[in-house]
Amino acid sequence: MKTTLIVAVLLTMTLTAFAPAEPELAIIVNKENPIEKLSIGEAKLYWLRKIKKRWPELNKNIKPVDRKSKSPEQDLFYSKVLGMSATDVETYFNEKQYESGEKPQDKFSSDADIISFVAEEPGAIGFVNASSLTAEAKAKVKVVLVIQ
Amino acid sequence: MKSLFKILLSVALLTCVHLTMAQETKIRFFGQPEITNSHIKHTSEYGGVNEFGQYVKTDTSYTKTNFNSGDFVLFVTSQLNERISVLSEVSFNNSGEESTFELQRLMLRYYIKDYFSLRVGRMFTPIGYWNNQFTLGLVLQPTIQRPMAIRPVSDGGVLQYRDNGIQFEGENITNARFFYKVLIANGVGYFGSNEKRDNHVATTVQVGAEPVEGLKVLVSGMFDRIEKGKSNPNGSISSLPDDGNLELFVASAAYMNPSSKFEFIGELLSQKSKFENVGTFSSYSYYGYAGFRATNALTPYVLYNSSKAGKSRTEGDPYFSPIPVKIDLLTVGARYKFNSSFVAKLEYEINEEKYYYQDIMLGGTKLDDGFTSTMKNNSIRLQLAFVF
Repeated sequence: MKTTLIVAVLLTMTLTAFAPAEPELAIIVNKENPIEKLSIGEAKLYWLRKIKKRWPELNKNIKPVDRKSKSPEQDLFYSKVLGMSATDVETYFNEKQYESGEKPQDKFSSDADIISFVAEEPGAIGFVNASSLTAEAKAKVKVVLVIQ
Repeated sequence: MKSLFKILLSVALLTCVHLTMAQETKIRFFGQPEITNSHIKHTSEYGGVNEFGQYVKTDTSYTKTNFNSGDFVLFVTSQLNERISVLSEVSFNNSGEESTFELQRLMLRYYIKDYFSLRVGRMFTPIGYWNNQFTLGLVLQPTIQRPMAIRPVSDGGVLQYRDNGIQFEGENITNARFFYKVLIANGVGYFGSNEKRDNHVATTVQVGAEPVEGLKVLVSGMFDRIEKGKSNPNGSISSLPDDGNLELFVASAAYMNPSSKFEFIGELLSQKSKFENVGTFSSYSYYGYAGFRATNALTPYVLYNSSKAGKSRTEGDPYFSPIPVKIDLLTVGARYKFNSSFVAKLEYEINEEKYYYQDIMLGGTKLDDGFTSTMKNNSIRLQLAFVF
């Protein structure tokens, strides 16, 4: 009985150790963007281009940036920031494009690509795993919200 | 005015051709094949008037199964620069032995501010909620067909659902997210046709707000002209009796929030045909749609529509339907969204249309009694809508 208990505890500890931890997510914008902080609600409305189509003060189109395929970062962003499923997000941008020709979100396959795009595009807003923001990356983009 | 539109459209197209060379262009195809099984029963179907001045009526009943390839839509958008975008939409249809090709939309949008931008070209008329939100991209539309109340004139409805013109619009105004659209266009029956030889333009105005995420409330009005001698747009009469004006008012409310399990759309339409010498005639329609997202993929829904042409059973609307008609349509269905690109919809629809024919009189003598012709159509319909 005692041996079984020890094995069970060890097994639980091992499984817990290898379970994927939820990533810490950073919402990033271009360095030129005067916005310093965003709340979760604001990040949602800007990323969906709902309250504004252009950044106030910056006077550039808001360009939402997304992951090309399913990833833990995307799951976290969709669920905690947008409160929408992946299908709903796609449908939302399809509807926008169909109604008025609005360009859908730009999609990239890695955090490095997203950081690179946001660094070059003044109106971009994207999400990356906070651990991808090396000192070099932080020099290129501005973090406006961190979600744990 | 029409020449002005042509010039503006030509300039817009030339600008597009020039700018598109360096731009990222998005091309999408929408498809929506469907199959319908219908049981149709006509009671006292109108078959004309015989030589004695009496109605010819027949009762018929039949069942039919119909495969339809539906519209295949080529949809292209391009962001030409920070402020200018272009959209084109072309539909292809192959029904029976005929293939049709139609330019649905072709417009250039110039964005100045959130509260002011401009569209030029061929676009959806900003009348009501549904007409701008869902049209040919049926993968986005919650039901298989439009509610009867907002079907275009080409499908027997009242809506001038698209037109050539210039539109001023704004959105995201204040925290209540007010929006507006003003379209100045050719008007009913003049899709760029050469028949137009005057300066008259139709005006459509829409104002609304989105005070809560996903909840839109709006009112729209269309003001157009009716011309004596022209056929009415749905072709049920060949010659309108008088010059006059056409007014269509729509009050709409919609709650379509992807974060919510419940969705709703309701619209109320009131149309007035005001002839200068013949009088004023009214038609009314309303519909309500409600859906409940049972799972992320499955949404059962119900749609009820009621339409009435004319003030009473004895008076039709020369513009919409000279024969007074009352249409009730109930649809119960379910939508299964495999993903954002592929949606299957299954519906059962009960449609009842009543046409009220009046007494036939000749010099004070009644030749025949009026009667009510009824058409009942119960259908099962399956649609597979996709985009790629």
